Amino acid sequence: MNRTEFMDLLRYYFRRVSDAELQEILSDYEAHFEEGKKAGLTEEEICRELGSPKDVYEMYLHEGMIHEEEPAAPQPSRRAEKIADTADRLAGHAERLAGQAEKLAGDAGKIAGTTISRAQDAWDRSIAPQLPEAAETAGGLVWKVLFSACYAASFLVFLITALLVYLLSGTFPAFGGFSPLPGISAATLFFLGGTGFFAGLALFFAGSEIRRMHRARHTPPSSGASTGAPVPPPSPEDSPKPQDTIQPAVLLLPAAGRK
Amino acid sequence: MNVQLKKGVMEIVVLSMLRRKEYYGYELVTDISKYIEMSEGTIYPLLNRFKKDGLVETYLAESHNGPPRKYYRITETGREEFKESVREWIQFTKAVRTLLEEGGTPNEPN
Repeated sequence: MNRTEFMDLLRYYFRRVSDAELQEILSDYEAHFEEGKKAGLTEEEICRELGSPKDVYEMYLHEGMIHEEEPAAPQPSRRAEKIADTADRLAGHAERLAGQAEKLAGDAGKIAGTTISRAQDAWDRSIAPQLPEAAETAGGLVWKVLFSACYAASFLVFLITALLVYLLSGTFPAFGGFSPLPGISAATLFFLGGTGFFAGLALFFAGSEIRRMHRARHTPPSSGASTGAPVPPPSPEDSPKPQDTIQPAVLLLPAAGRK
Repeated sequence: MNVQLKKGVMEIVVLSMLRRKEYYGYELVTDISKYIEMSEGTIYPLLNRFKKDGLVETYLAESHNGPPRKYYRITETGREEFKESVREWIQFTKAVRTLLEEGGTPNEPN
């Protein structure tokens, strides 16, 4: 979030406050940004320290400091409110993410998932309707290969990391203090181990995310029945249903680019 | 630390800082956040409430580079309020400590 966005959100939350009150509230934050700039901070850094505009608003409410005029219309716009809320939440979310290194691994998987579903949507809309059904099964297969590869890679990374750390840290007293590999400092070793561990974790999460999405989109009609209306067997003239189609090549690229 | 817990503490912290020195907003906020992690933006509502309640007063003073700064100065009422809050705080923390040491933690009844 930058300064303009922060101030705009404040103006939004305090929209039912009189102009004079609003100006007084805003002036504190304008001054804060000015001082922060003089101290050499970027707008983003200052925003992060300030916290979310919604918290500011709620604190003013909590302190009983603002007098809101009755909303003129029933509700100006539920949608606008939702968007502001979401933007606010997203900003807060992004900031928390930045601080939490270990969570990154899990989120890498989610991001891969989101990217995949976005690509999927684009695909569904533009290209899928023209594809023969054979592509569907092929697509499913590629997904399976994709998540299996992720799992296998994650296992390999864990294994190699463990082996490396073991060899680098171990000496064998029975052989006169023989060390299999040249010794490195404990800190380097620690970071090496950590990097390997989280890389493996990221791969693992990416794999399970892909698998989950694959499951959600590719439940075969025969096994996934039990809904009231039975699914009619696909006839050749049926065009493939958008949500069931899959396109491997499009999916591979963005997912790989994220790693 | 829990947000709700911090909200209550912040009042006494701000008054205590202003007792020693007159601060402008940014200086006060960043000084506190050196010790306590919190959303800096939520200090301003507190300061404004203090001003409304007459615990602090504000004045503008020139700064050598840039526009004049709004300074906060504690009033007599503010000092009284601070003493009272400290008394309550000490009483409260003492009670909490006693409860914790006696093992009467609420999530382990009996």
